[in-house]
Amino acid sequence: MESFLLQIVSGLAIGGVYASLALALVMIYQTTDLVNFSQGELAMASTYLAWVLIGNGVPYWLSFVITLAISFAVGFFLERVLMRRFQKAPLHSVLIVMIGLMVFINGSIGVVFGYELKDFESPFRWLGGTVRGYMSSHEAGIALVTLTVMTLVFCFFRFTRVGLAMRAAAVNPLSASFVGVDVSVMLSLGWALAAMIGAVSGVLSAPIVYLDPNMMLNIIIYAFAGALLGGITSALGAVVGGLLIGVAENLAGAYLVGTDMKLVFILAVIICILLIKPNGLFGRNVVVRV
Amino acid sequence: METRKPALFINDTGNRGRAQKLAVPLLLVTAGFALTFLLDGYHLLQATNIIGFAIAILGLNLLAGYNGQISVGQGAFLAMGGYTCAILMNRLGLPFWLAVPAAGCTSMLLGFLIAIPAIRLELLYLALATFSLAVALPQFAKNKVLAPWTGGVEGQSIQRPQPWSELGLNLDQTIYLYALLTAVVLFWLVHNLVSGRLGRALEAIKDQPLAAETMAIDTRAYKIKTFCASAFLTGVGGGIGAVATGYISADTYTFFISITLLIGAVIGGFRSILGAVFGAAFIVLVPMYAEKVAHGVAWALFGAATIAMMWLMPDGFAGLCTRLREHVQRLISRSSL
Amino acid sequence: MSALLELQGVKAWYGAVQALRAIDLVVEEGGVTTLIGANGAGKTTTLRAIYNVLVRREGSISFNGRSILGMSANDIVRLGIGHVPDGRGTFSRLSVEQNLQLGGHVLRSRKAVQEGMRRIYGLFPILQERRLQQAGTLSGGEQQMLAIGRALMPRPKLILLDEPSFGLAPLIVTGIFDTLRQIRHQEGVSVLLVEQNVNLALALADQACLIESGRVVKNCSAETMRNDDTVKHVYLGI
Ligand SMILES: Nc1ncnc2c1ncn2[C@@H]1O[C@H](COP(=O)(O)OP(=O)(O)OP(=O)(O)O)[C@@H](O)[C@H]1O
Ligand SMILES: [Mg+2]
Repeated sequence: MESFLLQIVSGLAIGGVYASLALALVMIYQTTDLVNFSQGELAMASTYLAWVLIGNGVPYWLSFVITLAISFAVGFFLERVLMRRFQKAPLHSVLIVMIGLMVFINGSIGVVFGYELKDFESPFRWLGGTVRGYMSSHEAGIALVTLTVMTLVFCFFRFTRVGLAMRAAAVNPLSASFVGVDVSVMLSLGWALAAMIGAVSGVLSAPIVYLDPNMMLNIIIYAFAGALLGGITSALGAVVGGLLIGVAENLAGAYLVGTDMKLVFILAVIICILLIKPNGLFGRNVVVRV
Repeated sequence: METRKPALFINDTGNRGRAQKLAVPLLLVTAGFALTFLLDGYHLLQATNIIGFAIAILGLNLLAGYNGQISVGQGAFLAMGGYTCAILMNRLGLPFWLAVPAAGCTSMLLGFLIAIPAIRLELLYLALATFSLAVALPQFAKNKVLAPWTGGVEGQSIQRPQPWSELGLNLDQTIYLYALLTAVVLFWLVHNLVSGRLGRALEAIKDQPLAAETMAIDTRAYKIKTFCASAFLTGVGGGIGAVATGYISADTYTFFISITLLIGAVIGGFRSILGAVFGAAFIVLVPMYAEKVAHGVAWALFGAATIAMMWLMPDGFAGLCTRLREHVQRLISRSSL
Repeated sequence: MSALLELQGVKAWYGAVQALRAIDLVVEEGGVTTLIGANGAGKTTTLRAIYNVLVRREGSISFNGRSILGMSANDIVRLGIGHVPDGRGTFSRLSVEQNLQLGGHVLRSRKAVQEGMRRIYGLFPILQERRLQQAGTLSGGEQQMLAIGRALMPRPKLILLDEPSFGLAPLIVTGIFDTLRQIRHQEGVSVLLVEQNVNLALALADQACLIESGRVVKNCSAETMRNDDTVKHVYLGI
């Protein structure tokens, strides 16, 4: 029983990482109907940036903020300069561009930093060893930061003008332009925010999976699963889905398939969702051709 | 959507004569044949690899260019082919020239199983699912239950086959020549396939799925068949690769192999048959040189090339050739006026 | 009176398909011009051409004596042209209040937005009652009011209205047209009105334009249009 609870709690913590990345995926899906395959690698690159900053003596939280700011700018820039060219291209071209981007980032970071695993410190040591014996201090920290970020994101979309304009541009771009929203800027902002939220997931997961150019490869498919489970059209769904996938992964690893088959388990989950309930738990109808 | 010119040798009913149409393939085959006796062992091995990949990419082309589907997890069929060869040759002592077609068949079976759910998914979700398959693939190979067959993490060596010494060939030459012959047959078959009735049906399905259905084309059946054919080709490619290398393990079939295949197909051009050869050469040769500089360079180049390709010439290398050829022809006809 | 909006020889294309061939029209300062024509004549496209959305266009379009041909939709809103698109185009998954807030997107201060909302609620009290409801769940008439209210938020000088009566019961339509009259006088807005209900449109308008297959074939006062025999026969059913 004790260990069962433990699995759930630590599942929720790592689920926070998946939830952030899933939220990033949903953000881009909402504005462009695309799943950004390079989201994980963008997050990985952001994590390297944070690592470099920290390694150069910049305090942890300052590095964190700078990383988020730069990720934001890079996301914005990528949409403007690269993805915009493919706005009218057929879907398969866009998918391939995103895969190319992913490969490019992975290789470039590999060239610059090498492929060996790097330690990434956790900023939550001061929380003590474990919180009430259930969570490591880092897991508690992940939960805290993810919660904060999610709350900020929700407030942004609910209470700010730009947030509202982004939602309008996502649901009805034509009408949005009729009220004076610059829809193309909103698209770029979507990428920018996604890159920033993805960066949170990268920086938080680095102390667990260690830092290396391939660190996000597994995490991105957990995030896919989370986003699909929650419903790819729903931000709330992404968060709930990400958390559920974290728990499911831990429980399946402990009791069902063993830790060495977790990815296969997630693959099965993804396929089941796609075939049985493609709109997920909270999603709107997206047409899946049968 | 498709207003682009078809690439080299597909539906190419231009005014060029038959001989002219055959020129490039014949030249390639002759050159390929000559290489058997020109290259040393190491380079011949790479050449065999290129052929293996070319066949595998041809499978991907069939799927993407004609079914309009993208498989990011094509490595699964490569793995199926590789492991089938290893098991048949090591356990049953089958000669490699039988094991390779058998590898195609088991892979086709797997393709059939995957096709049934896959053809129900929209492009985006199919890409997502196969992407996940590519990531999870090594875990299948490492699985303890399957380990006695796959060799698990340590992998397994594949028994060296007998060279065709009656023909005066050493082992590398034997495998290479076999691969070349297989490729010639398969490329020829696929060419006939897509330029015939099947090709037209697939074209219709891809461009106008609804219209195709009203024309009583059984979309599902065609899609499943194409999927199977694609899996067969990639399985054969995987078999050839495994036999040539002589060793496979879970690390042979990582996520990266699937992506590499996709990139090869993109570079060559999805809708081109000869493009597959160029794409395969690209993905084998670039790492050979680039990785000498630093680990990761090849990968960065792959990514950059892919993006540049989609940006500048979405039909791939073969599309560029077509455009260049048209350009030259226009120049010629203008100067002859 | 001087011309507020003036189109001369406007042509427009959807991709390679030409939808407008020669559109000339004028909306006077404080006036109402109505655009009538059969289905597919190019009325909606004319409004889109003014707003620079979905179409590529040529010709001359000027507002307040200034060419707006090179401007994007979001600049045009800022100049003071509001747009009530066909099908209303409300943000159906957002609340009534959020829709109005978005209408005030180009306003600078939060205070101006608040004030604008009060103004709109004054014109359409029902919207205040439905403030927190999702726009998609409003009745057709309420949605039309919301769409008009949204366009009026930034106090435009001109609004483009595309078939405000579409799909509404006659009583509601009369109500909406009454409100349009009220708005015209209260807010001093000029109107470019596209309308299938030619009777109502001509009753409201001072000027009228008849278009056929992307061409303006008759451009005169509403009065003259009403008395034209073919118009009587074809569009008024008399
Ligand atoms: N998005 C579009 N893409 C391509 N062609 C279009 C598009 N919208 C309209 N058209 C074409 O442009 C022409 C004019 O259409 P438009 O919608 O302007 O007509 P309308 O006068 O508003 O008709 P209605 O009274 O039915 O609303 C028609 O031939 C129509 O088919
Ligand atoms: Mg219309």
